[in-house]
Amino acid sequence: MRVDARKRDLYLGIGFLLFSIGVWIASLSIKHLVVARISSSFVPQLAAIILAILSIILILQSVFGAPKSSAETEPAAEQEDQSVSKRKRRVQLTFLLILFYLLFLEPVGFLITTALYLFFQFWVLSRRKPNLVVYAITAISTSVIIYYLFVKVFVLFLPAGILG
Amino acid sequence: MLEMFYVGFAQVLALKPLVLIFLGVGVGIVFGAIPGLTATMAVALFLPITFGMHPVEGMSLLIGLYIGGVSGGLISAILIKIPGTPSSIATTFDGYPMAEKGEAGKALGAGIFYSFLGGWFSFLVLFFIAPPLADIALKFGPPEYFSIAIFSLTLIASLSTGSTIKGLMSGIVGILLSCVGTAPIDAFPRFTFGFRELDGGFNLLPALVGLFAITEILKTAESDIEIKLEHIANYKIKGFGFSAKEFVQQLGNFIRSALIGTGIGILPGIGGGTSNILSYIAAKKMSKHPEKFGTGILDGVVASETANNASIGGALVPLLAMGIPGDTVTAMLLGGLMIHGLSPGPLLFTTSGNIVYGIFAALIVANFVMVLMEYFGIRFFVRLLKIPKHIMLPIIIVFCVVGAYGLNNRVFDAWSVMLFGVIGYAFEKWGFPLAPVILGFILGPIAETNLRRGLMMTQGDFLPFLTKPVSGAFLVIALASVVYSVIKERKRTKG
Repeated sequence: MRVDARKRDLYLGIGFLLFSIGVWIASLSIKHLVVARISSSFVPQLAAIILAILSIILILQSVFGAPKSSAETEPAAEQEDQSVSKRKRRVQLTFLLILFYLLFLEPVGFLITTALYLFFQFWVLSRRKPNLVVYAITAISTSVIIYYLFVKVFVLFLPAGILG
Repeated sequence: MLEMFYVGFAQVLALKPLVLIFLGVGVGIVFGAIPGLTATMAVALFLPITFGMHPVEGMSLLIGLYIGGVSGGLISAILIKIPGTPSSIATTFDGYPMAEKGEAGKALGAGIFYSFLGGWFSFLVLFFIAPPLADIALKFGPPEYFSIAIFSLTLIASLSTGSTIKGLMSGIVGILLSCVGTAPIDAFPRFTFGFRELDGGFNLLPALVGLFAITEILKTAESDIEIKLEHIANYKIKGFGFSAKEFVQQLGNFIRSALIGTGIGILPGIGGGTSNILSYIAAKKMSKHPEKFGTGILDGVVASETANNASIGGALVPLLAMGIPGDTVTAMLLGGLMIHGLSPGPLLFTTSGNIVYGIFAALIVANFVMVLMEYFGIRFFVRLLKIPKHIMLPIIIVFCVVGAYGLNNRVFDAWSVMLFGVIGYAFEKWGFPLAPVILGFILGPIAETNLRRGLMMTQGDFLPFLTKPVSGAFLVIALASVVYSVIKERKRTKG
């Protein structure tokens, strides 16, 4: 467990070090005003340098440091593999659902996309036997209520899509 | 000052602001009571709705949400032993044991009462400190603002939970994210990689919603914890549950906790989530009977619930006087003021004094509303704990998207929500604190603009930043706080 946390920090340190180098390279293309002592690339470059130094410290800490205090290690040890993979799947599916939701929001419109997103998201997150009829009713009514609440009451613009 | 309070109350004591305060406090308590939903999220979700409102109305709603959100956490802390928000973590230590002993009503009553008092204490501090502080801050130039921003950044990084190194790294990542878009002063584009949408940079609101709300739903998707109703303790509230004698006994504890809460609130970047624990520890250390802490004594609940609400007024001090948020919720309030074209800072008192005092009045009213609603509505809030999370969280995601989209009517902002959500989730997994990211995001541009403006004034000479007393002092404290926390951490990892 502790070894894992240290290994993770090692990889993180390396990752952030590479990231800071990337930032530095990207910042070289920022245009300069000749007259100013400090140009627009100063702060990003300074930040990149500090981030690189901190990453190196993190790497050194993870290689040479004493074991991390308990506060930093993850609380729950891997319980059963089954529940872990289930959890991972839930996270991945949630992620994909939100992604699709955003992709189709504008072309298809708020009402339909939201209802569909909610329905599937309820399903993915449910821990017990899913009650699909209830999910469908809740999803559709929520979508309609939110749409009218925002468009009519709060006068915000939402994508109407193919219904518009 | 009194006249200004009349002006403030005149604006708030009208039908619409009052309805909004009731709505805000009610929704806030719900967010506070339900584990996983926090005051920060409540304010983030309702920010977009305030676009179309008068500033005082919008702020009334947000202040209601803030106070409700911090106060609602005690319900679940005491009744199901799960803190509703980080602000009520220490409330579980003695609150739940009290409930187990059959004193749930007493714990709830005292929690509500001391939340109210703690809030009041910090408001008085706010009312007396913020205006003169703003007067002083009026004389500040770019060097002072630069140094205060740097000071705030180092402080939040070193005081946040976990490793100082990771806290500092989070802060730097926040600064880098704020660099995307048009640079201050000379307006050259940075890190836009040719995307026109990135020219304006990331908006604060999608950043906040993504970091806090999306991260939360992904975390919930991962966890297996489900609240079971059988675990809700029985309770009966009668009066506030404690006697006048007990009130006198708790007076010292109350004052100490209120001071800790307000002080922690004033410090940039940390708020109720830290103060309730520190105040609990302090109460235990100073107590004549420390061994009784954790067994269900009133002292523990009083310490925690006084301190977390006392942080509200404290956190508003630097926000209103200098435009520097005292915690994540006030970072959101900063956004709330900015969408109305108001930039918080010393000038706000002179240019928009009526709004500042409107906010003060809203605080006082919302605090009363909080006691009433929490006391009489507790049955209702407990019932809400039953709503399954797999129904609630997706609906919140929809609100996030609506809010982010409504900002500029472009899907790009909804994408930024996603991006920040991924960053937040990854950081959370990797043990990086999130608060420094958002503070870096807000304070980075303040520091940069003032640094470059200051250097223009001094013809490129950095020395005045160090020799000006206020500016120099803050830079020295900033350095000291980093050195101190690094030494402390070395000791911890070695010992």
